[in-house]
Amino acid sequence: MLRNSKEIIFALLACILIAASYGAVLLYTNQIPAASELYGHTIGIIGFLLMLSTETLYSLRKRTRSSRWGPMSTWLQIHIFTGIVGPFMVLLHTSWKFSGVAGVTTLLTVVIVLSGFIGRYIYTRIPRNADGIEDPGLVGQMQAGALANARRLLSLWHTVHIPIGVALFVAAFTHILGALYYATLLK
Amino acid sequence: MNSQRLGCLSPLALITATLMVLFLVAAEIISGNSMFNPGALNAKAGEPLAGVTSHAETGKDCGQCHPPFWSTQTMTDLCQDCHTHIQEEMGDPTSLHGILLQGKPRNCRSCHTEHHGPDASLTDMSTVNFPHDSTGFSLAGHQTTSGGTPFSCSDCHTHGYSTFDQQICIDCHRTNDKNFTDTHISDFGEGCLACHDGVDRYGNFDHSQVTFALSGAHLQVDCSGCHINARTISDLQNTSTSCEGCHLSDDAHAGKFGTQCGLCHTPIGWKPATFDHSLAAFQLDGKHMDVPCESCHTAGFKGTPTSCEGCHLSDDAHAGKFGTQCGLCHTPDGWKPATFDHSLADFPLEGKHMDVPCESCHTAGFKGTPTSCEGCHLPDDAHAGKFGTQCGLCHTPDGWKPATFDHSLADFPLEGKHVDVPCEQCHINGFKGTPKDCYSCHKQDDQHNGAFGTACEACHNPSDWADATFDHSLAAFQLTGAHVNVRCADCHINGVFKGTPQSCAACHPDPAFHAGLFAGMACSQCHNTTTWSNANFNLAHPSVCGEGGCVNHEGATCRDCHPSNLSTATCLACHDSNNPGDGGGGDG
Repeated sequence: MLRNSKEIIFALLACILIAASYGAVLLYTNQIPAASELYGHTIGIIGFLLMLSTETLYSLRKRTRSSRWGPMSTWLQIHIFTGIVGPFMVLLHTSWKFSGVAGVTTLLTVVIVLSGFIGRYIYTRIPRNADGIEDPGLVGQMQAGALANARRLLSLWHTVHIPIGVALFVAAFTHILGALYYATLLK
Repeated sequence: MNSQRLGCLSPLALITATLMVLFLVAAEIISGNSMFNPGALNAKAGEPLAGVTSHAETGKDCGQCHPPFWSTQTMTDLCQDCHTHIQEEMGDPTSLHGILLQGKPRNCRSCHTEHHGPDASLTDMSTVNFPHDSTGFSLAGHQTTSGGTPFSCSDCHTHGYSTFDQQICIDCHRTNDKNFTDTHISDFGEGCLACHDGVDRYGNFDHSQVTFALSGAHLQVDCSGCHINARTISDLQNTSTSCEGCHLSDDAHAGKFGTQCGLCHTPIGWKPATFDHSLAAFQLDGKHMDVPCESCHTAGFKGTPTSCEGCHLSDDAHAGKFGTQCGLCHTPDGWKPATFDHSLADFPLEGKHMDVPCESCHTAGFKGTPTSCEGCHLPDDAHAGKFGTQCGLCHTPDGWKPATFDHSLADFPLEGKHVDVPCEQCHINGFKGTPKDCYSCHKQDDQHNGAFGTACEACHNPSDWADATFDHSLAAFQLTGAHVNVRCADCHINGVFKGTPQSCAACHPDPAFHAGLFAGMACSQCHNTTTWSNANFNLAHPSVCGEGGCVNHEGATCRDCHPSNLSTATCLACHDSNNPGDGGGGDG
């Protein structure tokens, strides 16, 4: 279990490090890092890029079916890692204000992360090999009802999780465009 | 193989994306730009600018403050579009914004923020290193509170950092020292910032920093003693630095001595007062140096007379008789000794005149004082006016005595003993008319009892009475022989000349030698006036006859035979018994 969850461990360590840097800035400036300032803006941009990569890279890898890009499980680990660290950074970027489209984006981010945890739980109900491909032997050992149920849940989760992600990015891009329009570098 | 579509391109995903876009567009339309608003704008009403009194009143028009990224304008430009006075301040290096932005790019966002709520502060700048001096009030004197803790901004700025109520000063300082604060406010008003800039508490203000350094008694005076009703720094600075500015009412001289107090007084105190009188037209010497100023400066300094009589008229012991040129006789060292170079006057002083007090002669002032002797010495005239008024004929200023007179100039030149005789002895009744004849003076000296008349000079000369000469040949009794050398008094006994007997016997009694043999005879029978001894006895001499018979004794003198008297005779003077005939012979 621990071996299978090392990406979560890394993600937690990364979050602790980021939180530490956030705390350092907080202590140094004696105020919550604003979204528009250097630190808050930086973690917002990086967090968004990590979220964007979370959404795109694993999805693209899944569709290549080529081992040239590495095992699927690794991409999944990366997906989970960035899927935790990116939103965490975005959360810090909010400076704890959740109004307007930015607030909607934050809400959707929280939702997609929770959805991701649910999805991973369902995903792990179906035995897979190192590449993430279902292990026919282990699957065959499962009860037919449980397996069908798991697959159905996974499919349902997919159906919900992906639109949430799309809605998130629509909101996120709208937020980014608004910021670019009204306050590009707050010149 | 990549046959499967991307999840985001699934119909449901595309529908979701479309719905999301529609939702956002609807939200944008419904809420205006609210969905991009990161927080509520400040709603505090201020001075109306560009038609609004707060940022909140700008509505949802983000473009009022946020230019699109393609615009050449910045947010600072848009700030200044409304806040024009701040724009002006930025160009004024003496203003707050001018100082804060000196050498820095104009960026309002460096200090000002928004979207933190309707009541949030629009200023968000570091207060730790805030250049508070630039606001006109330094925090140098407000580092720590009276409790020793560091000041926080809100200790003074209770209603926002951009405003300050001076009542804060009063309340806080009244808590610390009520008496001082109340007195200070009473003296200087409640406009603390009009004078205080925070650099100095002025509690121990170094007055030497300004043009009027404090010293002496000035150090003891309360600030308000001089800075009366001062309400601003200008009032303090414009406080008069002249003496009369503060001390007019203290003037013990009631303005008489003018306003340049410093000529005599120092900040040490009104006393001791000094004045370098050598700077004045009237130098102080002698006793003038010890006189209180007011004695002369009775009506101030200017116009004080420099003449003696200007001050000493009432001191004039001469009662004005000697005029007003006191300096001719007196010096500032005192009225006495008084001196006058009398040689400059028409009457140079000599002899005893030099020791005489001035008033003795100048009884009625100097002018017109007589220069004649009698002018002063009339009452001194020992001659009671008898000798006239030309004292100088006999007397000199060296004294009444000795008095001299060149009697040779008179009709009666003095000779002999007349030279030594006191004048008065002859000039009994003055000089004029003094008789020149001897008898007028010498009547009482007349030893002759008037027998010889009054022409004394016929016998006497001025050398001596005794040295008298008389031509006895003019008298009835001619002087011959030894009579010539006899003193007059020998014959003229008791000075009686008249009736002096002319007979020999009257003066020459018959000597015992004659033994009365010649009584009744005139002496001249035998004697002449030459000498008694050559008497020529021419009478019949009785014969001398002895044993030897009578002999002729021619050649023998009377005394040869009569050694004792004529009544007795002896022969043995010439003859001895052995030689009776051969005597020695004689001459008589």
